[in-house]
Amino acid sequence: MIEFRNVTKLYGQSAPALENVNLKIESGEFVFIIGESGAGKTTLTKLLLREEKTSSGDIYVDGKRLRRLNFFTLPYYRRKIGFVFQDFRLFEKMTVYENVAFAMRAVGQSRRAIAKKVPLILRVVELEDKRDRFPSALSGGEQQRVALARALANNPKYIIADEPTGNIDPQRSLEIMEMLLKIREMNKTVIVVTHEKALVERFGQRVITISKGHVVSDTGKSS
Amino acid sequence: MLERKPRRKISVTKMAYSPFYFIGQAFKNIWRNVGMSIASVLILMACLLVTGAFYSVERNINYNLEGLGGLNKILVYINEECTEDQIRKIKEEAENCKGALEVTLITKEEALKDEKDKMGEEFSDIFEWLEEGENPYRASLEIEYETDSDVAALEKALKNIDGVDKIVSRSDTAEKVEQIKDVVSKVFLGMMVLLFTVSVFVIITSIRLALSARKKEIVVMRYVGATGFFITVPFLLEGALLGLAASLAAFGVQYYIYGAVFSGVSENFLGLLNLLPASALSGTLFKSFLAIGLVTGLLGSTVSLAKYLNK
Repeated sequence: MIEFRNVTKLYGQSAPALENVNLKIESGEFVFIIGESGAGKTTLTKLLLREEKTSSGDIYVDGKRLRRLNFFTLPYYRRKIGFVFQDFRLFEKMTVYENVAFAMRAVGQSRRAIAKKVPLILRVVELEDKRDRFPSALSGGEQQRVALARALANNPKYIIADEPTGNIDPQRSLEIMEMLLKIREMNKTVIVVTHEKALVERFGQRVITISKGHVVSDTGKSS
Repeated sequence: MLERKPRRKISVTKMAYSPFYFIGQAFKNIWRNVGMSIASVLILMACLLVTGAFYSVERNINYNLEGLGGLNKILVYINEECTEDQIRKIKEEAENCKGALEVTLITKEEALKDEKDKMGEEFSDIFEWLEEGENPYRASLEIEYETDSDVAALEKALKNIDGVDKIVSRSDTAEKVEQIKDVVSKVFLGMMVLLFTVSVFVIITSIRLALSARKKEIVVMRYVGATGFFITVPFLLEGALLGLAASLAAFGVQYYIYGAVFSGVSENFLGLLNLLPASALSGTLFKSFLAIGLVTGLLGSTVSLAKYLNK
């Protein structure tokens, strides 16, 4: 479970990026976090990844206070989270297979584990037939699926996708969302950060709306 | 065209947490910024060569001073007319002078023999001629003293002894040699500090370029939960490898140059200036170069990574 307790994040003297945010996300939920540009969505993501520390208040993930994580414990916390970048951040000189294997290699997984697991993950994102292609030979939607596969590589409990449909066409966006719903069924908690309200409304999941650093609405738990 | 044929061996999977992976990544970083890497090695090499030159000069100065039998001595020349008994008496009186630590008598014959030995075989015919005729050398006393403050009083006391012709003190020479050594040390140390600082900065820049070139990779590694160890080791190794390369190259150059200088001096200075053979210096130089090279390389890497480590 993820819990924000009175979280405020300030950057210098400017208005708070997040102010007094309280929210709970239960394990296994699918949550959309929406808001206009500059609303505080990115800050919320950075706090959750512990890329930034809160100015006041605390964030708890599975009962652990993120503020207390240090240089040595932080990597192990991050293994619980699979993060999908808006711009995919794929390595152009690596094949699809190698891009996914890279994430496993970075956490010290064995050769055998990598060779066994990567094909399974590629099957989940329906890219098993494109494992030896380079990212430049893939469509935007396919590249996003590789990014998703990489996020899944270390079997994280949480998936956080930052504007996963920001760089792809509407049809591919729907496919990515369907895929994220499928991933949720693998006993994962999925958090999708987006500004595409229209797309979000089609899925009937929990939607948390942020505006000017405040949570202004929360539809509550999804089915 | 962009599709790669399936391979049996997948390089990525071979590398997880293996030392080969880290070394491979370090070499990759060096290759990515080859110009900067070469600059780092050359500057560090210059620093090591200055250190090596300083050490060689220092060791050789000391070696040559030892050859002179030390500078804390006064030479007392005795009148030619003095008999052996008188010379013995002068020696006894000199021994009783305050400040005299040890008094050694050098007879006329010993003086001639010493000079002959010093000049070597090439001048043996001249000495044979001197030995056959009248020995032009005089008997002398070599008086060792403990401290420089004893010299003036000791000289005064020696002058008052009957039969003493001339007193030669090397205290001035000793002072001059010390002054030269002091200046040489300061110049070399200044250059060493300057070059060492420049080396560290160039290595820092080199590692930062490598970090910048791999920024995307590092961000992804951090987000998937790679440990600081996994991310930083290739960069630390890169610094260490640059330091190691500079050490080995500097040692090779130093050994070659010293060898050439040694041959030149041996051929042209006829024993007036003696140099230690390269083998007498190489052990210490090699260890020192390795230590300085590795420490500088690692220091440069650590400073570059400090920003990352503090996050």
